[in-house]
Amino acid sequence: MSRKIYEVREISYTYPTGKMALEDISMDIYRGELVAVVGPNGAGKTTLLKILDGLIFPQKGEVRFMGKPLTEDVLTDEKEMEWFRSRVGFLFQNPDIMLFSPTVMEDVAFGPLHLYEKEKALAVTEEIMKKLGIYHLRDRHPYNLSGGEKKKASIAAVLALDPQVVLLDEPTRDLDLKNRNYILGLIGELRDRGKTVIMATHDLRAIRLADRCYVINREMIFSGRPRELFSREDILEEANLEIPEIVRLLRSVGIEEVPLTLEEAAALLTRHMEKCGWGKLPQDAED
Amino acid sequence: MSKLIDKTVEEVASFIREAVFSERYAGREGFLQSVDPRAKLIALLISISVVVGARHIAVILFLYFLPLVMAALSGIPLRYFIKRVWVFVPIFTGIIALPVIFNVITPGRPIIVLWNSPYIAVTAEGLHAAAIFTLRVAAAVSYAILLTITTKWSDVMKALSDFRVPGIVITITTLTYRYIFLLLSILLDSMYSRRSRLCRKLGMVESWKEAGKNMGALFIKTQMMGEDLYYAMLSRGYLHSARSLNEFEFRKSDALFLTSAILLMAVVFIGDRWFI
Repeated sequence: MSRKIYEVREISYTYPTGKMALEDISMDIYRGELVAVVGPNGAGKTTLLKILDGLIFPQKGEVRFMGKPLTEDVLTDEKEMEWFRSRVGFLFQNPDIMLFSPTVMEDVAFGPLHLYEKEKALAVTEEIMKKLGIYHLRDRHPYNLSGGEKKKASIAAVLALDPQVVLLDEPTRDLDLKNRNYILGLIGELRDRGKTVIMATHDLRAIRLADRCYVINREMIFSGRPRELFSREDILEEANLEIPEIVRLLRSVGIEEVPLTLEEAAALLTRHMEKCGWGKLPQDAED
Repeated sequence: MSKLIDKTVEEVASFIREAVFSERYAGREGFLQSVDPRAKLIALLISISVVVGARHIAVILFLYFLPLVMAALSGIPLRYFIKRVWVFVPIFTGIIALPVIFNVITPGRPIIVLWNSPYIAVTAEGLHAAAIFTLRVAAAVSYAILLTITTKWSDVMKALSDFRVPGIVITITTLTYRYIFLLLSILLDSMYSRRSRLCRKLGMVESWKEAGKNMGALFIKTQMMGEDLYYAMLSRGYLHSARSLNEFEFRKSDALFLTSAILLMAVVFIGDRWFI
């Protein structure tokens, strides 16, 4: 079986208002990859995710999912649609958009009920709600939840179908530190379980988790690994991203290498200090 | 924005939030809650047809009191139920019923003369017609509210879907329902945000202008959110049909309820036409 999940070839998309959203974008996404799509606000990231989810279709170019063309005609066919929807889940940026049923339970069950038999739908719904620790919210109205609970309910709604590919639109946006850490942990877990994750994000911590990243600003402006991205000041500036503080700190002492974790930064710093004869970092600082 | 508009929006928002979204009584144990939604839907349609066709005020009054009894049997506080019905009645009847009471529309025996030249008076026949019309609306609204108050929205949609109501109608109704809450939240937020930036009291014309701008902005947001909401449903496998966690089971008691409702309405209709 091909490792390629998505093949995107020179797609362009223009909004009904006439404004160009994406121009000649090409990318390949492989099975089990965690890919970050980065770019400033209005760069077309959400539009790209919607195209990958077969919700809108490019006016030019081609998108293939597992070798099959992803077109309006194909997705009009009920069987094809069922096949595609059970494999791809899309977490929208705004949880209020995703939560529209009278209770959290019905919301999470919405997808499974459309794609599975009732018994199976109920079983997978309960299982994912218990797993994400929101089973106690099952009878609550989704609009009365906190931001973190809403996000978890939306994630449960997406993961209830156990999709092979998960599209995440700004998954850590507007969340407090605890919930943000939770979501980042969950993204890592999805990757460890072999899921293909494509996320549009501004969050530097989320980008660090990625295997590869694409920076778009209507057009493709960068494709590579996060480490390469963090070393490209020009690209970061165009994506409205800051150079991570730890990178700036190392640069200020003359280290050009880019660490992705604190452990890597501590090791680089220790090596540099030893080389310069400044002594060594205390053990607890390295830890 | 004027206090009147602010207050109205806040009250409408809290009323709809409570009335439409709480589903407080739909999940409780009660007479109508235990009836199959499909049987309730058929009974509702028949009852409304009979209400609309009824000619005598006594019959319409009887038809109005029937849902009150059923509401009580279903554990719905009567005060709450009556309040919900009579909030809608003036909206539906006000524009139509008011002119009917005058001799210009309904000639007859004058009761109160308002103007001599030109001659304008409230007539007995006009009042009778307005009363019949208002009661008819109140009775019809009572049956409709009784259905929605004792049935989960998703079950109402599933019942409609079972009766082969076209998918597009289900989609539009579902989206509308889901949408009302989002729109109210946006409207309230934008109202509060304007209020927090106001440093002086606005005049009436100014406040109406502000309200107009607010409505325009809301319209644009509505369009954008509506699209995304639909995409969110589509993304999770929505196929233009309603699915519910609750599977309907048409039992003997449901058949008994439906048969009783049909028989009762038939008797009322015949009595209204031929015996009163």
